[in-house]
Amino acid sequence: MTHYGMAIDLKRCIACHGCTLACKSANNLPDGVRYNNVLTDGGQYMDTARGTYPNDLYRKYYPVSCQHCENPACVKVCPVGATYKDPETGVVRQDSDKCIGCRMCMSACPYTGVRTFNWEEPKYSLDFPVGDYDAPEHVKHTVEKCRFCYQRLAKGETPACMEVCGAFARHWGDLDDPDSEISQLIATREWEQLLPEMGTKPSVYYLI
Amino acid sequence: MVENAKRSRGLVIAGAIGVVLAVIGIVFWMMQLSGGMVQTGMRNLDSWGLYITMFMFFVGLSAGGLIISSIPNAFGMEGFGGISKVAIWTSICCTVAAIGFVVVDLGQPVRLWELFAYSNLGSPLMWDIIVLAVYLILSIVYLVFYMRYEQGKTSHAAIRVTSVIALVCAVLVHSVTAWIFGLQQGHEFWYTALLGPWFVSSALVCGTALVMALCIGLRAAGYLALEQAYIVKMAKMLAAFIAVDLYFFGCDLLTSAFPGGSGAEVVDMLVSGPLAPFFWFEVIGCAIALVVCVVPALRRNGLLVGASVLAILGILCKRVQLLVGGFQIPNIPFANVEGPYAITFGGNGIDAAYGQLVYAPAPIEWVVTLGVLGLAVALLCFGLAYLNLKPASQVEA
Amino acid sequence: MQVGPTGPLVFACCKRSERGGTMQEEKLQKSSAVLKDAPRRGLTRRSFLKATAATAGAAAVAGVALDTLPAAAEGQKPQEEVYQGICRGNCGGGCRIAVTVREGKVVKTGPILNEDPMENLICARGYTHTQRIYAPERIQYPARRVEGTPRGGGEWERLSWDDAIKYICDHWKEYQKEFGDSSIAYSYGAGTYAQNYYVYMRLFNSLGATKIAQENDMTMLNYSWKMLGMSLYMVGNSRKDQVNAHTTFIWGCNASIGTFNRWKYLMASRDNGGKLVVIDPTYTVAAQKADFWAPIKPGTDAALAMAMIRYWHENGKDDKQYLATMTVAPFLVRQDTGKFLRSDEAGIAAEREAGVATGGGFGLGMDQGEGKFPLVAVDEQGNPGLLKEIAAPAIEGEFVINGIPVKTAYTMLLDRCDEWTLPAASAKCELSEDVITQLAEMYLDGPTMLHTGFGIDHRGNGDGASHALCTLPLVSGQIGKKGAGVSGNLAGATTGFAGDNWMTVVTSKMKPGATTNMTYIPQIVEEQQWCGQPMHLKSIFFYCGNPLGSYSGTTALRKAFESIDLLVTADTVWSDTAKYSDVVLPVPHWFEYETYRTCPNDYLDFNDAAIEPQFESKPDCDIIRLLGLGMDLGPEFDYDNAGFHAMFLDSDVARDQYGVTWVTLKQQKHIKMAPDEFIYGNQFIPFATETGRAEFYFENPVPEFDKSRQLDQELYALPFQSDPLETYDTNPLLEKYPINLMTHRDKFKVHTAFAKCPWLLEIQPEPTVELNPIDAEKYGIAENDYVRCYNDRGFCVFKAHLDPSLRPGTAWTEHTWLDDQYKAGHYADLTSLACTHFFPTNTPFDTLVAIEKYELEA
Ligand SMILES: Nc1nc2c(c(=O)[nH]1)N[C@H]1C(S)=C(S)[C@@H](COP(=O)(O)OP(=O)(O)OC[C@H]3O[C@@H](n4cnc5c(=O)[nH]c(N)nc54)[C@H](O)[C@@H]3O)O[C@H]1N2
Ligand SMILES: Nc1nc2c(c(=O)[nH]1)N[C@H]1C(S)=C(S)[C@@H](COP(=O)(O)OP(=O)(O)OC[C@H]3O[C@@H](n4cnc5c(=O)[nH]c(N)nc54)[C@H](O)[C@@H]3O)O[C@H]1N2
Ligand code: SF4
Ligand code: SF4
Ligand code: SF4
Ligand code: SF4
Ligand code: SF4
Ligand SMILES: [Mo]
Repeated sequence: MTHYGMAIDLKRCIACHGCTLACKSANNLPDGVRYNNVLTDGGQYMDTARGTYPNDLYRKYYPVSCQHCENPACVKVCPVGATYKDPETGVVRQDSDKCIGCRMCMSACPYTGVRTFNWEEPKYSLDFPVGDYDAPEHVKHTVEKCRFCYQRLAKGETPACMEVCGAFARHWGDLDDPDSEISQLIATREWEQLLPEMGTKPSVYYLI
Repeated sequence: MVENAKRSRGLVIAGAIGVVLAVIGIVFWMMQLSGGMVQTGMRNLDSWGLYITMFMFFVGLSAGGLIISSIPNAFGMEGFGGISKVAIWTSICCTVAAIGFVVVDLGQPVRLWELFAYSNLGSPLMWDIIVLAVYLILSIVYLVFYMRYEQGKTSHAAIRVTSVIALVCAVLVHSVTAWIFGLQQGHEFWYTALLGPWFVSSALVCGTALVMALCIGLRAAGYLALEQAYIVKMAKMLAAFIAVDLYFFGCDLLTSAFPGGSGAEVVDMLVSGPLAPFFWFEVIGCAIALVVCVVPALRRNGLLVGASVLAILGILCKRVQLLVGGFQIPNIPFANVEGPYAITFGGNGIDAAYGQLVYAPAPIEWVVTLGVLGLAVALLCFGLAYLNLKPASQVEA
Repeated sequence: MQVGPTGPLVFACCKRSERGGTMQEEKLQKSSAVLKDAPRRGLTRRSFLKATAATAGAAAVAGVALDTLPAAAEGQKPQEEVYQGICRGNCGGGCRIAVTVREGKVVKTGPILNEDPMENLICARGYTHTQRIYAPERIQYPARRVEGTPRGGGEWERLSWDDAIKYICDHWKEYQKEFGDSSIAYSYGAGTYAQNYYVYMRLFNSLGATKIAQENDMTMLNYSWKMLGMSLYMVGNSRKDQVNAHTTFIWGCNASIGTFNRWKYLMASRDNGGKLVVIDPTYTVAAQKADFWAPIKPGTDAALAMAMIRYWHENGKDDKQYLATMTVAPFLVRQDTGKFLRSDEAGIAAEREAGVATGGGFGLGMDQGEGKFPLVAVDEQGNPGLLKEIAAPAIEGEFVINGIPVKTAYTMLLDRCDEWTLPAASAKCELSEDVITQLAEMYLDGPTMLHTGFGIDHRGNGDGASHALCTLPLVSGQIGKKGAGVSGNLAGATTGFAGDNWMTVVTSKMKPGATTNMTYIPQIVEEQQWCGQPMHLKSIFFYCGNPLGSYSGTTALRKAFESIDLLVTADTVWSDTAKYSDVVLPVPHWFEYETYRTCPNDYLDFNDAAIEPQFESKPDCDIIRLLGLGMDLGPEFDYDNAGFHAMFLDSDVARDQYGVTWVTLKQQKHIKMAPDEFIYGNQFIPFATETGRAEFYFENPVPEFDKSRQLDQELYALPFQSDPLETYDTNPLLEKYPINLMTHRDKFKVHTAFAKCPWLLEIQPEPTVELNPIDAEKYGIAENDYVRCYNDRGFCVFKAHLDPSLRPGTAWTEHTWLDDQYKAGHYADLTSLACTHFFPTNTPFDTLVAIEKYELEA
């Protein structure tokens, strides 16, 4: 069995937002929609720190997209199975043709902001679709989120945000394969996960 | 008879106003669907709003009303028997409103059928939809049975059985509604085992208050006759329910605050944060209602109606706190630049986004809400006017 | 938060793609079984690589960037072509981009993966070219400002190319006749790395026009070139050598952005056990990631570096061997003239030699004349002789030779540094003595890389500090070996000369023209002369630059431009400068025409034309052709884009050494030009200076441009700490303007490029200024307030964010937005044109402003 996961090295991530843009581009994301966000744990605004200059300063970056939880809160609550876990890959998928737009999943997912609703007819700054030719459709009044670039996985390709991180901070692979790079990293590095107390068992590891 | 006709003309006019509101509501709902829900105040990080607040509230009203009216039947108590039909009807109207609020909140209402085709029975929302549907049908059956019983076509035993089932269903429907929220580990404010019982207690508060106010009103209007003793009985019940409800609130706040941490944030948010007006209105309003209900000298009709209204509004405030409060504290409070779809009042940074109330309804939501209310009012009024809902004795008179 | 098992820090970045490869293969095998319900509409993508299919470069594209999948469901996948584009703003990346075209539109830009995975690179901006290519701010056709309307008024009259060229040429000819060749000037910025950038030289050299040289970063760059010589990787080793560094000093560089393309190498050196040390007043991301951060007081870097030198010497930790053999340390400096002592003066018989002068300008121009007498040194016993004949020359000491008092250059340096005792430097730099000692010690814990940026250069006292910084590796001996030397923005990028035929910029009509830089334009306009020669500037042609958005002193510049009749801009987008011009010429986006680039990477890379030039835009080469013919420069200009490029590549080196011509390059697309192993500054690869040694002593410092100015020769001979021009403590202006406003490289832009990309604007929607909460409180500013920054030169409105990363008294904003993106004013208007004159550069960080809360009008 395959269980795709990712490991993001917070010691390396410099918040270049390359992953966010790779995702926007590959998935033809509508304006204002982002599956991945690079969050600043620091001050009030992106890239700011908290503390006092110069000896007590703190700033850290967390790139956050759907955690592809092993025990996904979103999947449990979806009344029609429009969001569901792919048993073969562990990917938590999203079916835009099925979603009734009840937004149950949005309030169930503990990871603030990884799910996004198309609050209106998706808008694009260009008048033709960009990105992968088989990028997911974006349907008004349905919920979306990172699908782990399923269209790419299906072809044996790498998720867009995983292709090249300028800091080489992103790792992706099969968590079930103990020899995979990602499994090795998790076995040998210190890591943390987001909100483990929620019991969702995320498939995203943050190497610290 | 002449008077009666006049009265029912009043109801018909009220009902017609309801229909007009409902039609306006539908027009705006269509606008919401075509122009997009971006016109509402809801956004990704506060993805439910007025509609779901009202949904919670109306499920509560409906369940409460039914519970109150069926307890006497179920347990064979001599009660406010006379108002049973009105209460059941009111509760049906509230259920319809509740369902209406869910529907207007959906992004893709035309895909509603999928609920039945692809039902995920593990979803609390699915449970709720099932119990709501069952509950609606049962309420109607109950009402029909009641009418047939009055016409002597059914035995009292049948009424008792149906009322017991209706009672269970009413408790269930409200617990399940609570679980929509209470089973979500992602929201500190919602995730508590207390939420089920507490929803029931809140339902009883507003249900009792509604029935009591309705009885006093209808009696004053001459629609039905009711002994004052029953009213006093209801007032006492209301007092007890309010007390329980406030007790639950106290328990919850203590449990939240005691360990400190994010629970304390919840308490802060309620007591002194952006939701404080709703919190204090509920607490003070319910306390006043309690006092009115327990002090015999204050149990005058006007004051009791006032107390009922306070209690109902108090519970509404509770619903607002619950819904908005659930979104008010982000789980991952890290800075991000929020786009137009992220949070109602936008803003760069965490404080800008969360320092204020994260959500307020947009005009379209008010209008659609009025529409749903209009539908309920229309149903209620036409029901009162055209269905035979008066106590049997009076009908005969 | 949950914490996993602790273990050694392993990181396998070098193996990254090998592993990725195997994973992909595995997935391929699995994919048919595993992903049954996948929307497998694909097919083998090889078939539609039609434009590139035959070539090796395309094979790389096809093999790496584009995976193959089991041939299935053929036909559902739309036709797609993938081209190699070179993203080539001046960010230092020069990334190869897979440009995907569907139905004639560019629909996707992504990375092209390299043979060496460490060289894989793309950034957020690289993914946004679709939006850049189809941007509404593209200039679509040649246009002329409507007569009678003000510059920047936005009223344009569409012209045909013929009319536009005729209009420009008619005026130029008139100006030439009336005011001389120097009345036509040209200015270029950092727009592109590709060859279409250089081809303009051919035109303007033939016109004898005045060159307004690139002025950005030029203090530090020139110092480094003059001191260390410009070599294959500028003044350093291959950037790949970073992985061997044990200690890296990131000094005055916002490394995670300014040298984004090197970040993974910095990380790799850390993975190998290396340490990162950051010297920066701001708590940058690099500082956040570093092992040690020294929050230096701005403008005091020279003092710190000189204190380190002094400390090393005092503690016997200077690398005397290296100094003696690889630097000018043993050169004897005449105390009466400041010049190096030569054999004739020392009374030692010797012949004249060519190429031993040091002095003004940087060292590329060897002394071609009759030559000079050889240099003299003193041996261990104190006996003078010819330097080349003394095995172990003394590097310290004071002597009298032939009656002339002399000191070794090193002693001169030490004398200069003597002032900077630990307490003195500590007081100046506001770093504790302990921190300075630690820094000095860490620097010796080599191999040490000096990863510098332009934080120092962009302040008005960058000259003495650049000098001091470039001296550090020499005295410590942390250069000339693996993992040591200079890196960052000063080195590691190829100079791009390999194989290019630079004679291309020369024609039979070649005329020498004057050279100046933007800093002097107001002065020239006012004085109508330059270096004693009359100069009446009548026209400036701008290309590859946006001075009115990106440069300093724009208030003064705009004023100076008032008396210049014809401003022409060739650009892709409506830059600030284009908007302010009289004639604009539309240039295609990078991926719309063929060109190549040889820097900053060690590859020669071809840039495909993924689509045709849009609208009426014409590649720069075609513009050169039209202007050349219009100016009657004859058949030497009658080449098309390919013709010019072929000429540029037509050199013996290219042909014979690399087998490269325009035709082969088009086929191969990606050709290795520079070696990975390249260790600069040792006996094998000596410094490319006139003396072959690192020259920390300048015997003849002459201003680069304004030769009419007299420099303080003694001062400029050696590093020195001076006050910045504006941001110094005793400046009375501080009372009015208490905040030092700097900029930082913006990860969402390259200078003003990408500034209007909608996807990037989603993440960073508007100009911001970050300031320390202490200052914010002082000036009554809260998070998210709009603020107005102002001084005597101009004003600008930003959204304010509180950030304790900024040193109290300093604030910073993004470099740079376009003028209509500011709520009011323009940031660049706040800056000045003030500079020092040895190697002048713009000094935007040297800016004082006042900050007040600003109420936006509804
Ligand atoms: N405040 C402040 N000011 C600074 C700096 C700072 O740190 N702070 N940094 C300075 C530095 S280091 C630099 S390098 C400069 C950079 O300043 P500029 O060189 O002016 O940089 P850009 O704003 O990117 O302008 C480049 C222009 O060239 C155009 N262009 C791109 N490619 C081509 C091409 O192939 N042909 C033609 N004709 N045009 C093209 C682009 O569209 C763009 O408008 O800014 C300097 N100014
Ligand atoms: N994304 C992106 N990347 C770019 C560019 C871009 O525009 N966008 N531009 C490219 C170009 S042309 C250049 S020149 C490079 C420049 O890249 P950098 O050399 O990194 O230049 P800056 O970003 O200006 O960063 C200067 C740093 O110097 C610090 N500083 C300010 N004053 C002082 C001082 O007095 N002493 C010391 N020690 N530090 C000081 C500032 O806090 C800041 O961290 O970046 C290149 N890379
Ligand atoms: S691409 Fe890499 S460095 Fe950039 S934000 Fe994403 S994870 Fe961080
Ligand atoms: S992160 Fe949220 S949306 Fe993603 S799988 Fe987990 S619960 Fe579901
Ligand atoms: S919004 Fe869509 S995906 Fe989410 S729970 Fe409802 S139907 Fe499922
Ligand atoms: S895996 Fe794909 S969909 Fe998910 S964040 Fe990365 S690029 Fe976006
Ligand atoms: S902007 Fe620079 S780093 Fe980004 S893709 Fe282009 S060349 Fe590469
Ligand atoms: Mo630069």
